[in-house]
Amino acid sequence: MDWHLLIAQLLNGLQLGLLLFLLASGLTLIFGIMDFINLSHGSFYMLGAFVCATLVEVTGSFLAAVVMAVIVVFLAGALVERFIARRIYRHDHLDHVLVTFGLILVFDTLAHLVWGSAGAAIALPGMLNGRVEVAGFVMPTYRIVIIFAGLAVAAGLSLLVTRSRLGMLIRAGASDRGMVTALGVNIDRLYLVVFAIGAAMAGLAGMLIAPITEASIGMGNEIIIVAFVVVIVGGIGSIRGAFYSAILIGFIDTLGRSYLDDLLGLFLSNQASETAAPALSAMMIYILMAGILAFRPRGLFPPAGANR
Amino acid sequence: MRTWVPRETTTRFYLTVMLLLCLVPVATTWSGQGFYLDLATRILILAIAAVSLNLILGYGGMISLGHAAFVGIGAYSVGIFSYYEIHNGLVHLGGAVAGSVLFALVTGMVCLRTRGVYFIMITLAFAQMLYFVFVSLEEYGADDGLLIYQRSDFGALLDIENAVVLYYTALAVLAGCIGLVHRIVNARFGRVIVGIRHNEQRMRALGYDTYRYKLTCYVISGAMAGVSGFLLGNFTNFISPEMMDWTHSGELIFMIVLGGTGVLFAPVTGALAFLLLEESLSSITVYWHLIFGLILIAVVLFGRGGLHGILLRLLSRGKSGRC
Amino acid sequence: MLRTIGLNKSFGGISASSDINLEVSGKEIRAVVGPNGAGKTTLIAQLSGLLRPDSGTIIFGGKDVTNAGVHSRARMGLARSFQITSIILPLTVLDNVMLSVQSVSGHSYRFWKPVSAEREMHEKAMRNLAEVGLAAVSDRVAAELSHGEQRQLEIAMALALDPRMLLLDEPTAGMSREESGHMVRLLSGLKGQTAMILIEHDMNAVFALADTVSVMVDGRIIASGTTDEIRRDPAVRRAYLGDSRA
Repeated sequence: MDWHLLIAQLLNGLQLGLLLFLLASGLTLIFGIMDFINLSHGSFYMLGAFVCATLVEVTGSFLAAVVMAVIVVFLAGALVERFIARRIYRHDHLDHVLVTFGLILVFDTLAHLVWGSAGAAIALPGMLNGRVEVAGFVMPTYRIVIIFAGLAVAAGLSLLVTRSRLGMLIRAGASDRGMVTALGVNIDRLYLVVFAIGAAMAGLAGMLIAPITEASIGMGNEIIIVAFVVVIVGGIGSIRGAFYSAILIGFIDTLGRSYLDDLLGLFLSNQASETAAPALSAMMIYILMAGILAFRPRGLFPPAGANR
Repeated sequence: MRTWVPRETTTRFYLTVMLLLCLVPVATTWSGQGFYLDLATRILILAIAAVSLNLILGYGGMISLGHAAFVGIGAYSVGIFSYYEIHNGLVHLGGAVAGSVLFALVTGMVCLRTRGVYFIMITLAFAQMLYFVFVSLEEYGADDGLLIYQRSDFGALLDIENAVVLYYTALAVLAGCIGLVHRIVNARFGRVIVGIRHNEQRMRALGYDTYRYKLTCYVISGAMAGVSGFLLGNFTNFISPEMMDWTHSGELIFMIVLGGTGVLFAPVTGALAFLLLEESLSSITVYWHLIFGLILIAVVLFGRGGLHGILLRLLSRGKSGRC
Repeated sequence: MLRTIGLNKSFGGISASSDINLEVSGKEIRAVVGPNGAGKTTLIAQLSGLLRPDSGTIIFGGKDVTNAGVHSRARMGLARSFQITSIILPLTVLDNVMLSVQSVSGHSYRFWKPVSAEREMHEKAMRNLAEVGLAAVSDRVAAELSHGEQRQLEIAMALALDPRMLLLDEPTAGMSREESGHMVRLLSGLKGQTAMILIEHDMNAVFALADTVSVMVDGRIIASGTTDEIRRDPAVRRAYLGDSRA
């Protein structure tokens, strides 16, 4: 066993898990509190990446670009909530699906109009672009940055949700919508803020990944489905559930892709395992989801009192 | 108040649409516009998929966002058998139906234990799973897919290599599927499905094992979509995982809503409108998806009842004018 | 007909049913009364199969149904109405009852023959509608009915199952005095036809309909007996009746 490779893969898994968490945490709150299905959540991921790429060129500073881009995506989220999502919370889920599907088309084409079809790369400052050695393992500095940024946001979000008044409302909203209204809270503003925070976090995920993969049109449309799986496995409305299931799915997906053919090789012929492994590893997170749903139809950590 | 429009009036309208569809090959052959025959064939095939989705979505209230998976399975059945040089059409068709029934049964057993948001996301996830499985299968061309060099062989009686024959085959299958859905929703089984859609708890209290009825309905719908995939594979002479992409599932839902959810013929008018719109918009600008997306949002926000709703309003206006 | 042995159910430490032993025999009409939050609806939910008890046994028609689902209990003849009216709003009144009739007249995996051609089902549904006095509005969409009529429809749907026992969760809830008088007459007309467990707040209705009464307080049955016995029971008067008469 190549330990260096294993450690590197574990870090990749953690990185993927944290990115998924950034996407899924907003998604799960929007599902849980507004009972709203936002297929276009991945568009904020893409938007974050593109806006950040432009701002890096304008400002020359990656950090400044990220900060400003987060604000831009937050505002974009607030606009979408105010003018589109808010009108249809009370409609049935079918309408949510259609409208947010329409939004994806709109966002993707707008990105095409503004940034062209080629995509946009983000150049990292030299400081982040190197490699560091930790306890004998050499790894890219930027991966460490992503992991720490992800953990920091997760910690910040958990503080926000457990310690602040906004967080109290969010938790109350996720488990019992009627109660929040009964408390006399301005529901419209709460929804706006939750939606925009969710969008900003998705945008941040896009910004963090863009220096590795480039910003591209439709980049959010595939990963968002994995984020759905994270939300289902974690339990709709649960931040804690989203965190654990995001990390779990990050590990399983990454390790599955790199080790499944070795593992299958123990039971099958070389050739058989080489054919079966990629297909099976593509299915693994979905099989996990099905397995968890079979025993816990509301996911691992359904919020207390959730009635859906 | 809206004047009540008898169902016969709208049915007559839709039957006229079907009749006009019969004349398409005559028109295109006469004018030499083969391209439009292709477009019309595509419309029919997608309409079949939309009719099948309408059974579970429009009548059963099950919002599946993974229906393109069944279409993909049907198409891959043609592609994979052809790849092994098996050209027998019945084998292709059997594979399409068996494959989609199996997939519907296995995924349906999981999906239908959940409802609401969970159901939507899980159907989506399973379809995406299948997409990634075919992406990873190098043998069948992975991302690039496979070319189909010879269409399904049904002997000399039904030569679907001929574009006009393929068109009429698709039209006959579409008519058959509409007829089947019509019988189903008016028979005992369909009544149960509609009842479950509106009040599942009540139906259970009336003694119906709602899970089984929904699963049966899901499987029937999947099989029908598989047949449309079988036709699609033959039509395009090409298969790729892209056919199963979830955006295509979204498009099928769009077609239904455009036509009018839960209306028997709506998927046909929906598919017609959808593809004609796509065709004309994309010839105007490369950014046509923007307009398309805005139309989609507008249909939901302002256009209740889709084309069927418009038809009803037109008919009732005409009637109240005469009164 | 129906017997429960040591039924227990609690939600997060709060006991909604504790050691419920209930026996309803023959065509008896049993009222279950008690203040709000006494656990009456939770009891009905367990009897109908919507909730599983934490412990205890439910026997219906001589069979242990503790683990049977809602639909199989309904098939065995245990029909119910809901506290919040549960009908299929967009369908016509007749179609609502037809769904009940269909449930007990053969299986429903029939995909071809239109229901409209099944005359016998149609006739039976009309008979059930006549029984509750809704025959005249059979063509109306259920959503258009008045609240009282909707509750009558719900009874018709339960009756159309030819039940051996009816579980009625507050059949007169939210009704005007006139409507609830009508409902009481309707239900008393069913006396001797089927057994009933009736949850009801309106004590006039209870005393008009029930043969026997069980009083529930805080998840327990504190007294059971004939209506006269219950009327006289001092513990019951203290715990419940006294307040409701004030």
